[in-house]
Amino acid sequence: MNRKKQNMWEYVPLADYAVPQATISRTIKSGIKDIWQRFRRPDTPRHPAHDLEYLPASDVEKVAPPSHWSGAVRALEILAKNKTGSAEAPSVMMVTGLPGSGNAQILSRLAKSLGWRLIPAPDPQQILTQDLAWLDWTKSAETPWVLCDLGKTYLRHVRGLTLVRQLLARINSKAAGPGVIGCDSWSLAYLRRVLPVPFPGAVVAQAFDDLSLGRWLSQRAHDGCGRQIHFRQADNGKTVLPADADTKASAFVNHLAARSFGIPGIALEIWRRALKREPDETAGDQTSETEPANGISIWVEPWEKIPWLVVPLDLGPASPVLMHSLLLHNGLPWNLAADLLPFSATETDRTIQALTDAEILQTRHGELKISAHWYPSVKAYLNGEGYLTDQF
Amino acid sequence: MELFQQLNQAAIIRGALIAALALVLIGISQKVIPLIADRLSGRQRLYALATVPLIRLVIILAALWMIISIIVDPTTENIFALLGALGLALGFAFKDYVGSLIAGIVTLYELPYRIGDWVSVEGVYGEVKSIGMRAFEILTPDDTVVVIPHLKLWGEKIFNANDGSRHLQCAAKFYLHPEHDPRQVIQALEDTAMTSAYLQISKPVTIVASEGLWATEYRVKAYPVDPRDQFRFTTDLTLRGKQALMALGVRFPAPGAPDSGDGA
Repeated sequence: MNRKKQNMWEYVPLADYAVPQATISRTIKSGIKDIWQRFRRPDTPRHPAHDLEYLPASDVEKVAPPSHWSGAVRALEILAKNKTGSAEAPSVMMVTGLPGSGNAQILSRLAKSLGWRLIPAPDPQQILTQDLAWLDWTKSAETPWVLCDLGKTYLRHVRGLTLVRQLLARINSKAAGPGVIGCDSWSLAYLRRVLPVPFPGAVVAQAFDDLSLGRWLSQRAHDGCGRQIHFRQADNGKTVLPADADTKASAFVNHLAARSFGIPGIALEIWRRALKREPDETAGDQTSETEPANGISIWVEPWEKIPWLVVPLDLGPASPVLMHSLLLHNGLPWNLAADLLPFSATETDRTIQALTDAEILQTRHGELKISAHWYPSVKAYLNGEGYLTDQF
Repeated sequence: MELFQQLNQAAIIRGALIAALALVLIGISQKVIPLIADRLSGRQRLYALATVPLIRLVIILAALWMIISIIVDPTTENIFALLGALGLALGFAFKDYVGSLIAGIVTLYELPYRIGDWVSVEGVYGEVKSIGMRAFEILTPDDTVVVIPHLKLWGEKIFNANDGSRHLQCAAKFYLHPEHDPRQVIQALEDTAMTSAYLQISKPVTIVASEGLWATEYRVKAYPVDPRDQFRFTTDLTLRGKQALMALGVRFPAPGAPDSGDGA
């Protein structure tokens, strides 16, 4: 990849977080084009969409692999050293993460790279039994510490707030020493409402605008395949990535940045579902006529054909409550979800099954979570229904 | 000056067609708009439902005007004369019916209840499901439809729990033995409300205590996200609140005292 590797990650105070927007002209153009296409006879695309097939999972892993968040860790290292003070004058920095931003993994890697103590979250039983012994780690304030997710220290249960209350009290009294505490944006929104105490000063990874997102996705493809990949739009062959110029992203990436709120993990999941190939081609080793002199091509579904997912209304009355609880807890194990929700086990199981069948939920590392590609729609739905959402 | 125009067969058919068309349009609007509203969420649903009676009124007024134009020469004097005569006749024959119709029109601008509101009239509590010209229908929590004439607007108290908004306050009551630590109880009840999955967290949670003959009464007042969840919310508060109080070792009143955990 001849483009110079840049670190797109930047951590900013919460008030400076800026969600990328699709440009007005592109939104209008896209809308008019959509209406126009409904009435006109379809012209022959350069590579008719029906001749293309979605990339198989193995190829997707190559051209759009998950991130290791190295750039974010690098950006945080200096900030963490500067903002956490010393054992004599300790302070705690909060790093807020949006769903799909990889915040917990980033902080875990940060602890390793700085040699700081990585504090494991209490298990749910410790939270529910209000086991204050979990807080013993705050007594040795010599080495700075990293707690990856404050959201995993509470449960939305009548006995589920004691540990987080005590933890914040110790942080506010400087008893815990210097450290970094991660917190999911939804958990933070909830805890700030429920606990009337000061929270540590927080930073958040700035949202990727379309240019940053384009560069990041190109980097992912390059890292995965070891060579430059050209992403071209399936209906007209125009280049989607890498961008032609450093000043303007393609329309697709512009829309992608807006829909994913600039969260790289969310954008990556939507991106992975838009990638196509010609039949019988394998990403990374094809030698067809689509291969330019300096790389290989992957086709991208036109943005107009990427469906705007709508949360179905027939999933039962428990579904919004369940989705909201999962977001407030940044995911829950199945059995714990059943314990926390005010429904019978049968009703909870039925709703989880319905949401899983609709692909809105998925199980990752033993926890039920909202699927990344569904997140924008679920957030819009819960917001419309009047539920508390994160501030971003 | 002639009041009535010459009524021939064509004019009668035209009038009948207008009336039929108006009825069809009203029927369509009453079916289609709620269907669309059910596909919307939150406030948009309430706004969509609120247009149903308005659209019906517009259709009725338009149809009446067109029919009157066919029957009478629509000068100001003629209209007043006709309305006066109709008013006199109908006032005697259908006093209550006409009273309900007029009250139905008054509801359109006074808005004492809207579709989606939770109202209580003469002890009947439920969600307003439809508003007709003469009466409105409420669906009780026991799934019974009650038809209430608008005439009640003149003489009865109408209690509206959410008044067109999504915010409907619920209260869960707890009766405790007078010997207890009130700070612990308030904290437990507040945590119970704050951790309810149904809670509208942007609205306040209030705990009110009062001393009764047999027990100390605590009322936890809070709002659910969706007014339709009010009974589930109150149940959730009651059951989990009771559990939290029992964990504190709080005693409940002896037999003979009022029951604890009453609903909204």
